[in-house]
Amino acid sequence: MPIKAGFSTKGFESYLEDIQQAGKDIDAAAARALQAGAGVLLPVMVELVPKDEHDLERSLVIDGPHQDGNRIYIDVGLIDAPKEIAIYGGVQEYGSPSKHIQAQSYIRAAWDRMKSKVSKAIRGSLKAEGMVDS
Amino acid sequence: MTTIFERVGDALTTLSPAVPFAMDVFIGDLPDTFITYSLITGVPDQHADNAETIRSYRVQINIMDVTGLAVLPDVDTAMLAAGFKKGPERALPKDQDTSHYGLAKDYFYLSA
Repeated sequence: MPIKAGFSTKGFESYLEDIQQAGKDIDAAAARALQAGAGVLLPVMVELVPKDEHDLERSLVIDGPHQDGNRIYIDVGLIDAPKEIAIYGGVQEYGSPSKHIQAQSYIRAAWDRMKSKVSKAIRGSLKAEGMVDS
Repeated sequence: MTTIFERVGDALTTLSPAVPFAMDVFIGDLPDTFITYSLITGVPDQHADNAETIRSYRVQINIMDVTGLAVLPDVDTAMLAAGFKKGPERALPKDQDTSHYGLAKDYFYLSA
């Protein structure tokens, strides 16, 4: 099972449609904006991830952007890691209380720390392409 | 000022019937049902005049039970009454050695 932080254009589809009506290629711009956001998030995940043999660190990736209808999304985290790494990554992220192992979050912690900077990067990218005014 | 740890501990103390709980790691023999909690993040959410005005906390509460996850202590009611908001939750893999099932639940608290 992937352990990831994902974000998308969900919630502002109507705004994007309005822009598209104006003749702008919003899909490509939105995809680049999500990539910009993911580029802000991944380094912090890498910084926070427990480093033993560095397998977890090497397995953190950006997956996407992908498109599903009007929704464009991107995932950052352990997406298609080998089973052993995915299990180990889950134990590190959520802990294993019955094994006396506490969580050492690197996915949720990175998201909580960086969510406003991810939003800023997305907005900055859209602004640079003339999609938003401010 | 009440710390986030006190706030969680006070909330879990109100569970009825009582459930043994511990911060981070449960020391000693594991009961059939127990709870652990950890602070995942405490991050500044808002600033004014170069001073932090709001901090957001994410707390993970693990509910562990050997009988499964169908009937669990009502942690939601206890945490909501203490001012937390519900976040995502995720089932933990069953422990093959102790037979505990687990549910990890995130809660958020905004501290002004």
